[in-house]
Amino acid sequence: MKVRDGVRQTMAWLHGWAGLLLGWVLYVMCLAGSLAVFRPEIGEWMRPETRDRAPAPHAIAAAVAWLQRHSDAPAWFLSAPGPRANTVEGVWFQGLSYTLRAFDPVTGMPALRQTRGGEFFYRLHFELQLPYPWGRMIASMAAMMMLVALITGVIAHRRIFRDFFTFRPGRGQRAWLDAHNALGVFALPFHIMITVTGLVTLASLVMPWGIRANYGENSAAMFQDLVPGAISRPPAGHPGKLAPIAPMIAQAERRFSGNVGLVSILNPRDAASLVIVYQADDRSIATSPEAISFDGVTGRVLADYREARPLVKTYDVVYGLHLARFAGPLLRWLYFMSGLMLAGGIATGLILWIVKRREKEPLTIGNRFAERLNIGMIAGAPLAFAVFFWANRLLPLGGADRAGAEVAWLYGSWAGALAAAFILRPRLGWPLLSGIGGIAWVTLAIVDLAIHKGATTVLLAGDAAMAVTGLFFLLVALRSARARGA
Amino acid sequence: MIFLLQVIGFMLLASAMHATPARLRLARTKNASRIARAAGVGLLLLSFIALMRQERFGIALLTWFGLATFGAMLVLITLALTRLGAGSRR
Repeated sequence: MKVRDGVRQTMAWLHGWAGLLLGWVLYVMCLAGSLAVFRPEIGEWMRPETRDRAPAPHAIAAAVAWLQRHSDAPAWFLSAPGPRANTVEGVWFQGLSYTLRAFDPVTGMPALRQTRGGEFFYRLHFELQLPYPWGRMIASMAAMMMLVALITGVIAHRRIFRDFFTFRPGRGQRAWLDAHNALGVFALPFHIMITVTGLVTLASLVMPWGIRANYGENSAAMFQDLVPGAISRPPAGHPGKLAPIAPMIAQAERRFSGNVGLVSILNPRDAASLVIVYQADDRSIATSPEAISFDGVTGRVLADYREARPLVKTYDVVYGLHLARFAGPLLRWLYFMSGLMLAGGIATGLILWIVKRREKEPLTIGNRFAERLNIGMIAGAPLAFAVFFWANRLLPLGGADRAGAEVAWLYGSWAGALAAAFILRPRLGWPLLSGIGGIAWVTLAIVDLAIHKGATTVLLAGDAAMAVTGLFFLLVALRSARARGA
Repeated sequence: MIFLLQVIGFMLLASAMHATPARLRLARTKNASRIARAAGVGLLLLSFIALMRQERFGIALLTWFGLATFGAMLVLITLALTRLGAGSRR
């Protein structure tokens, strides 16, 4: 018995520290990841003027026509519109800098309201707005910590089944522990699945030795082996004219018996241009590496590959499980809410760390710092996300870097929230930041509903979700104002 | 329907647990607890079978776990509110 208790205590210690060290990063990753489930829908909500829909071949051809007039980049990468996205999202690079534009599917013109949309949350989830590879490295380490915290949490939880339905609100530390346990245990299969699959998606970065041993620094060769349908070749060095692209997309759609996903156009002004069309990932749990390569000038098929390798298919299932692009509306919401539960589990764990120590003795400087960081991150991040959406509605259309300005608003407000958390006393910081966040979300929903009148399902659902989020944070503000500091 | 089966299943399981306050327990004897537990697990299994008939296995499994999470959460919140209500009446 004593050995078992000793193991439990050790696990509880490890659980606490593993959760604390990168808990704030994990919290932001979970919030952003949950929002990224609705990446296309957020993009549509953030471009309310662009409501037209068009079949993928037409929409891609229209965007390519604009790019041919306005971009001399060596490659264009275009996401085809589908059942969940109405715009074509294009990225092209000039050296190390890149441009991201959403295109109207009918006219092919850049959308009136340029924004990073849901792509911002998707990137934030695993790149943390840091340059490659640092953001991904930290995200990967945080995921490892998460896995450690999950395993140790299960071992340390003495009464995991007996206390399954136990939540005793209003009982200080006990209530926080109950909430932390419930949020962690109820969605435990999801938490484990999303953490493990997340780790696998970044595995090549943290464990690159297998790839290095086989391919050295030639990552293009590895990609060629992974996706044999996507070929590469050097530019011919003399100009060539791109053949009409719509027939190539239509041919790919017939071959895939479904939607196309990404369309890459390499060396578009060269005689050796390539058009590579990838299958969309919305048909099954597994993501699809299947692609068809067309000669850009003649439109002739150069490569067409059907994936049958079991190991690649296994990886695709693991990757697909994390991305959830296969999910229908119900499953998408379940992913979203389970992701928020994980964020809630992390938040309650971080708060519990402080509550537990405060009940024993006055907080040390380190724990006081952690308490302020809790306020600035747990209440500050949702507030900053609300400001991001407000900026989307308030910033004037056009301008040099409108999408970048939205992001700047987000980080500016987040910095402000962190500063407030460190300046104000916690008993004021919690209700104030949660209250401002709540008001920001609720008013945004009301204003948007008044302006756009829920014209599309996406606008209406977005407004409703924001209103619920706002009410939740107002409730948190009210409760924390009543309590004598959490 | 599937969600309802899960909620009832979890309610039965909760009613057989010692951590649930005695006055909220449907099953107060050992035998009744055993029956409630078996019925609860049975309903959860039934909900999975029902889902399997509608969806492919992978999707059914993911949906079942997702719905079960919120079914259990609903039971937890209901019990917590009942506890709070009883506390404030006292």
